[in-house]
Amino acid sequence: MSQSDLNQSNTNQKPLAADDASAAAAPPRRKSPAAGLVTWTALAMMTVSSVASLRPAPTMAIYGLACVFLYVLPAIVFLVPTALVSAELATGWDGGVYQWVKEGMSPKMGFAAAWHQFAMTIFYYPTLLSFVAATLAYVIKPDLASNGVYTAIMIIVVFWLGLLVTLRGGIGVIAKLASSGVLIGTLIPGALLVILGILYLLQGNPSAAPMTADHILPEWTGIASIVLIVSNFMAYTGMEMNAVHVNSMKDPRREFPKTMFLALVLVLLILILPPLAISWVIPSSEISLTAGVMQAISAVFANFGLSWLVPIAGLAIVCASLAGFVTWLSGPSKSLLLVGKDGGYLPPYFQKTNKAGVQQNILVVQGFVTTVLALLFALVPAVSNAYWIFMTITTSVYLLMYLWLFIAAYRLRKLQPDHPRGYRAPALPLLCVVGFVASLCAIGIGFVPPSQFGDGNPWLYVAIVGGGILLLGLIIPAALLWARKPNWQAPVESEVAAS
Amino acid sequence: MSNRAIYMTIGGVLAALLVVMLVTWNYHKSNAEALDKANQLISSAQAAGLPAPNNPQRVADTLGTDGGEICAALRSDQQVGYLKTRIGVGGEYGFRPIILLNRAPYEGAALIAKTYCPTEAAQAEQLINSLKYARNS
Repeated sequence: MSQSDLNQSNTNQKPLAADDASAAAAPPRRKSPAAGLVTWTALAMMTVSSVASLRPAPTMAIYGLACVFLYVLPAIVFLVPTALVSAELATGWDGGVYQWVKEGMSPKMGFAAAWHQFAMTIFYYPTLLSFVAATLAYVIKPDLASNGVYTAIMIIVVFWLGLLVTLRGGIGVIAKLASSGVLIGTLIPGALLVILGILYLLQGNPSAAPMTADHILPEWTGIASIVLIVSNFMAYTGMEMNAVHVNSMKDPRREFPKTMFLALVLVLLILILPPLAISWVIPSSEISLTAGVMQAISAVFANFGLSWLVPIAGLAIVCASLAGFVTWLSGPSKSLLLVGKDGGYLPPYFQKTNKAGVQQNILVVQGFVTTVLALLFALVPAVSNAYWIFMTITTSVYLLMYLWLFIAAYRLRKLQPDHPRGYRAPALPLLCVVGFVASLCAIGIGFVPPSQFGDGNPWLYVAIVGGGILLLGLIIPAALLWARKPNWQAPVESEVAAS
Repeated sequence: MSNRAIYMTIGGVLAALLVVMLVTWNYHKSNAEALDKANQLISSAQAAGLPAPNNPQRVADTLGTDGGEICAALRSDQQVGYLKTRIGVGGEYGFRPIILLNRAPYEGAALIAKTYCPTEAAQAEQLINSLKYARNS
């Protein structure tokens, strides 16, 4: 794509706060064979499917009106900085978080950032897919949910089918599936819950949760409240993840900021409104924390005589989970591929891509790891009982990536102020400082033993979490760096059009 | 396999699942036995001094005669493990554990176990007692 092509494309569209001057001065961005495969709305939907769903809605409904505060504060200190900073970086540099941190800090830190993003997915899939298995069981045969073999088989079969679709379809297919999944499984059921909630109030029923000013803030209980508020900073992680696919857009400089703004609005709406609607209809005494989203939806639907809709809602929610699953499958592993090739940080075996340009060997190896984890999670009680600790460790490791992201963004503004960017985030240094401090706080609060740890020794918990972060966040990437060979480096090709 | 074939295969699988789900869903959860158990649950909650659900019909529609998700989960170590990963706050992907305010929500779950699946009541008690709370009451 030539410079004039870049400037002339979409001349009728006014970019959202785009820096026209710097965009006009931009050197031609490498044209990807995959360019145009993903529209900006599809990428926004992929981002939404990575970050938000209805799954946490019943848990958050317990907090009633305070759930608005619990989501708005992290939105200010984490979501907005992440979205705006990612928008600026993605419209200036290809390659997602690896490239940004590589440019802003160092190639080794770029590798670390990509690894920290990827590491989170290792333990994520078994829990997400066991939710899919339980949701299907809830409708078809509730007893199945108690069967570990059923759960293990479902996790493994669904994972490999999703992997097959990712390998065969490439990013174009993933984008379409993710968009459809979010629409069917999150936006429509979420909107239905909100409409039913409003109808409930319009019928003259009092809200089950008090909606008065003195319930805006969660009840103060000292350290537990701090843990509650700061832990939720993590609610918006994943906003930056799909920037790795920016080359698949027709005009990333103009389109990616729009992607981030649309995703930001949708994520806020999806996370805040459905829990609020549930809290209007169902008293907190009925929203047991142990009850999942299907039970909460059943209760709301039952209130309106719509219980017959539950199977349809169940399938819709499964679709949304699968959309998030394939999006996560294709994103961080793509970053790892770029790292492997560009920096030569991974052996050539892991750099192999198929005809659709998909990182097949990384995904297949990840498939085997997930299969083992799924078997352990579903069949070994000691593992399933402790699985929440693995999740805590990996979420902290993922937060490390945000530290590097904000440092890199800050430094790039200082070091390369004239580098063309399609969008310049307002007050970027402030955004970086706020986002960095929020991420640091969220990492720190991860060391406070939560309810699941019971009366265990707090220092043991600190040692477990600290040791896990050290192993997964430092020792493994350091070992990969140490084992690196110069001849592993390979040219980075863009995604190959699958269609 | 072309993209069209991928979409058609996925669409076909989902359509088949939808038919299975529509056929197998229990449309008559709220029968006389379910209502009876819902009333028992509400009475138990009131007797225990817990905030009681105020709509027996909705409880019957939701929990049926088998106790729904809670009883199904209590029968499986894996599902209890999954529940532990969901005690917290966050979004879809970024979800972290917290310190629960008090036992109240779980006491309700224990009553569900006692009413609908008494063989799992001990498992419910064990789960509740294994957790730490910001307040003891």
